[in-house]
Amino acid sequence: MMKREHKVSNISSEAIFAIPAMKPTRVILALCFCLVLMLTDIRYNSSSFIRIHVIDLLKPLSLISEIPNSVYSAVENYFFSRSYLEEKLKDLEKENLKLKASNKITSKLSADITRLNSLWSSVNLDPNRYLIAKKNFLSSNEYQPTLILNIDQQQKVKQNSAVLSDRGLIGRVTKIGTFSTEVLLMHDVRSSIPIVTESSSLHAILQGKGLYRHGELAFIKKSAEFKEGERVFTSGLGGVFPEGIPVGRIVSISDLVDEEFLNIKINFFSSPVNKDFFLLYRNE
Amino acid sequence: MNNSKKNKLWIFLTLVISIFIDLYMFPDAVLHLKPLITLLVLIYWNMALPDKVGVSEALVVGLFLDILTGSILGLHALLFVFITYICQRFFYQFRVAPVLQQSVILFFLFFVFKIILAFDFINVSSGVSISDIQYLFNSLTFAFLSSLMWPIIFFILRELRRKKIK
Repeated sequence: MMKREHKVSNISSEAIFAIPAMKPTRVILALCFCLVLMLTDIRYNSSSFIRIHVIDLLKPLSLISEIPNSVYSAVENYFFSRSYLEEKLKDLEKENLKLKASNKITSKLSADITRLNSLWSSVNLDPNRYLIAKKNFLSSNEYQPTLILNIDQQQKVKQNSAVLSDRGLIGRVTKIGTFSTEVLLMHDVRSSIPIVTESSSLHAILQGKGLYRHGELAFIKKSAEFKEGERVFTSGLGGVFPEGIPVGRIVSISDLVDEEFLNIKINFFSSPVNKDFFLLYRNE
Repeated sequence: MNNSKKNKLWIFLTLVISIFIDLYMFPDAVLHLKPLITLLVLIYWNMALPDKVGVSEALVVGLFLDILTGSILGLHALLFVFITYICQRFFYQFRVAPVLQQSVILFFLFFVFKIILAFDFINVSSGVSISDIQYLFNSLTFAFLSSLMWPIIFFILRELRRKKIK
């Protein structure tokens, strides 16, 4: 018998294990290698370059993951489309009657829309700068969550583009690959966002404290007059995020005796959890 | 294809499927609580076929998870190698224990694993540590769910091993 082979039982054909445990030297070498990798990553951020390209290579896997959903919806459509359409038709008939009734007030609505349009055009937002991106996956790392978005128009996405959801800011693009981009979420412990408050108009830096957790304002003097419940927007300072994007709301202000600064917690308006599509705003 | 290569291929396939499940098959709302299927599969193979799965496999799978989860490069790999060593060192004792007892042991192993992942190695002063009560609760849930998953993984992979791996 060779050194690292095992015997096989003649009765049950099961393996009879008589193998010595692996050599500690091999384990120690592997652990040292891992430690070197960790130190290199901490010092030179070596993983960020590799990560986005590996995720590009995994694109087929994400496509495979969509197959069960596609098959399910195709089967569902095939079997239930007729009855569904009949129900839909009845609903639409009812809806049509309601619409006829409400048609009389559309003249007033059109005037309102005209006013809203003029308001919209007065705001300095260029619709051409927005891109829609679909989520590939969100990592399970709570403190440093990684959001990966699929992109089609790779030539238009730029580094540090703001990523938005329907409720407000999500984060910014940090790495761009061929088919995907990596987003640094504002919930991430590495994230710092310059913000301004709604009513008190005070500027501060908002730091992430992890997914599913409140953010915190950093280095706020005890004399600062923030108010609980007031909303927080991006200030635009630093030139990374556009100005005025909703970020969150102040949920608590605590003045601890043994702390040098105020402890202000922010509840983020938006979260990448359970969302499939995001807007990328290219910052020129 | 000879038996040895075929066996390696089956093991590789189970690991790939487990990574795939970990990445894409869980809803976002439970991402922080979901069991780590890849580690469970790796532990099973370490316990069942310690001559075929070892440090190098743990290292590669760990590095792959590091890249995909956004953690520091080498952190998962380090923990996977360490767990592999523990499993192989004590596999005589672990293998003969009832599945329920194995689940209890894995509960503690996964709890420690999750706690170590919480350390902020880059910025120690940021206040991110195990003192976060929410994270502690999440770690307990994660360990509990992982230990619940163990019997399922165990029986599935044992069937596969008996039928496909010679």
